[in-house]
Amino acid sequence: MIEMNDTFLVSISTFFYFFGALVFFAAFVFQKRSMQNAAILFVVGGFSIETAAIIIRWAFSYQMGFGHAPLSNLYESLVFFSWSVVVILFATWKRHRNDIIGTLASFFAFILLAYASLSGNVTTQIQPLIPALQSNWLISHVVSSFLAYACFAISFITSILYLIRVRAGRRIERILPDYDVFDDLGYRITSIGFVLLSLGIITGAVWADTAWGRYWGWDPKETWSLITWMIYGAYIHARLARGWKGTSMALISIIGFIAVIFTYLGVNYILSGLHSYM
Amino acid sequence: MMRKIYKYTASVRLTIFLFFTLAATSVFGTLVTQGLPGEHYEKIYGPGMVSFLDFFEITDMYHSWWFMLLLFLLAVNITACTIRTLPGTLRGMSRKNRDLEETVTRLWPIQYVCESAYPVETMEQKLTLLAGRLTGKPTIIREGEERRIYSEGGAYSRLGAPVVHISILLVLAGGLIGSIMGFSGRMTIIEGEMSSIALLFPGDKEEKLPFSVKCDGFAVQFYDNGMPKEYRSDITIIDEGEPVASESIRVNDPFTYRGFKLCQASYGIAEASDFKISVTEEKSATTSICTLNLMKKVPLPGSDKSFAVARFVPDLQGLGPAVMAVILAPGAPHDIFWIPSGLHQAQGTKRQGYTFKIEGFTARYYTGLQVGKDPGVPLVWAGFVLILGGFAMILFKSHRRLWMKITPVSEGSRVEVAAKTDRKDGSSFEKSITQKFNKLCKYD
Repeated sequence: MIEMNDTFLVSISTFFYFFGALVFFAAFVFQKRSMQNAAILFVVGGFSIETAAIIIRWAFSYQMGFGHAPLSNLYESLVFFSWSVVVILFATWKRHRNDIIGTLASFFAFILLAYASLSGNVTTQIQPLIPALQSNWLISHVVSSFLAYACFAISFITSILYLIRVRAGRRIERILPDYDVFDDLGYRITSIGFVLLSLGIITGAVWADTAWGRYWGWDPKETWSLITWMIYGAYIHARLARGWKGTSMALISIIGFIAVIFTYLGVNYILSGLHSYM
Repeated sequence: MMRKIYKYTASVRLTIFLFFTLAATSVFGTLVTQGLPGEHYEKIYGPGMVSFLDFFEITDMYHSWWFMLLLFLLAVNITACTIRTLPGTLRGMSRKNRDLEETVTRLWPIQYVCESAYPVETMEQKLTLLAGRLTGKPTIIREGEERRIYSEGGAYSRLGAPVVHISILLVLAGGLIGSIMGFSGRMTIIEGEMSSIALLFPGDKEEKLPFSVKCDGFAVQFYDNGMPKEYRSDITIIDEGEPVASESIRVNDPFTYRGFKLCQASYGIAEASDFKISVTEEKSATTSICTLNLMKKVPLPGSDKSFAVARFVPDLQGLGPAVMAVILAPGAPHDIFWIPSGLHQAQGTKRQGYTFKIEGFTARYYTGLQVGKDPGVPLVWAGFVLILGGFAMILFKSHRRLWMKITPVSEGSRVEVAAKTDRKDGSSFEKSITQKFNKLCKYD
């Protein structure tokens, strides 16, 4: 019998997101409302299971005697990242029931989970907190940062779709909605992400002041989060004050998301610094 | 010419340029390790590259003249933009209740017209209530039979952006004050000893603190799986010869004395003695435990050889503490080898038919404390709070304006509505207006 634990639940939700993405794509190709409903059902199912997994893991860590929120290593952060992406997808769903955004967002959530479960260098074990992470700031810092990353992921998706729609022009007019939708949604989501990233950086700075005795030290992770912040800061100012639209905005959003990925993973894999535990 | 310079200084174009430039240049500092002693760079990059790095101060890039200049320009840019736009915003806010020209309200994005059976007076009452609920306290203008009702709400949300901008200036100012008046360094204190000397970052200049820190003890605790659980330094502050405070400092749990913040940063073994080393003779599988001290040889059980500990290192290439052992045999060269003691050394080190394992040793630790003083911190904290407050003003409130005109018609009244919100998404405001008016007006 398979042991019912949180990592097993995460693998189940991985499949749900995969099928969600598949059915979303079918709904997109065949333009069927019923398929869209089935797809969202898959994603909701996967999301519920993943939420349960996070809660169970949290409870498990208490049973093991060193309880802490499951936001403390690469595996846990990948799971929470995918969870956040789905949260933001749901948030956009109210206004834009867009199959292709649904396809790419659930596929991205799937990729994150698949990497978390299958990659050899991601340990799925529940680990106790090292001294540096034993802080009340852990939850607010990680949650706001990853919700911000998720906003930027969705904005990245809408930017790619915008560019495809503009390049391909008339030929896909029938299946892709007007590109203004992507431009507009991308901007809104990025604004929310920018505020959340600011919150993540600020909570991180306050935490760093108690943990390392300074609120800012140009550690690679800190620097890259600031690089990301400045790229999206430029994005927002370009729109609000200069009225930029369309392709240039999409390109900034794509560059911004590359910086996000580098802030999240690149700094740990390529550069070394104080954040090397995650 | 001056006008042109001012215009550019106060432009968002400059902001975008500075954001991109700061972002792009910041990348270099994460690729080149910052603040190492000079000879390291020579080794990694070679002399030609080093003179390039030195010229642009890339080895301490974030404190270089040109990076500081970029940050300074950003501050000037934010200031100039605020000076340019804030007076207009404030003026707009103080001109609150007034009569608006219909030519102006006609241009507002939300427009609605309907007729109702209610007479003008009843309509005026109802709409006054409605305006108060949708926006803010209304102004009513009566001109003959005609009524005009104007109201607005959430005007202060327009201050959100200037608040964020000014707070960023506060954070930058706090950073500047910290870098001029503050200091940051490291103290290394061996258990039982006392120090008042901090080595400054970067470089290694010494700074004498106005008090001394005594390390009463250092302890490191591990979880069952070997991960570190707690680093703790028990310290006593000695000020003018008197012990004034005894505290435990842990990671994430610093202690502040006279504005100096002491944080747990590192630790290590200053010296070790009484090495307990188990020696297993492989042939007979007998184990005996020898207690050794540096350079004191003991006989190797079951042979005419002897062995000794020549050296102790707190960390052997990441394997943990290790000793350098020597086997001395008559007529043979000294056989020197390492015995690491880390977690992964459970099987011990095999040599000349023996297995050596470190069972324990008495360590004297030193603690590394980060010590710093930063008078700019309160300013930075204030900036942080205000940034978030400014964002909240922008996110959760929007400036909403509502203008209504009631004119009598043969059977009741006619209402013209214009409304405007600075929220890009005016649709929820529009929806609530439409809903309310659909209820009020009947078309039958």
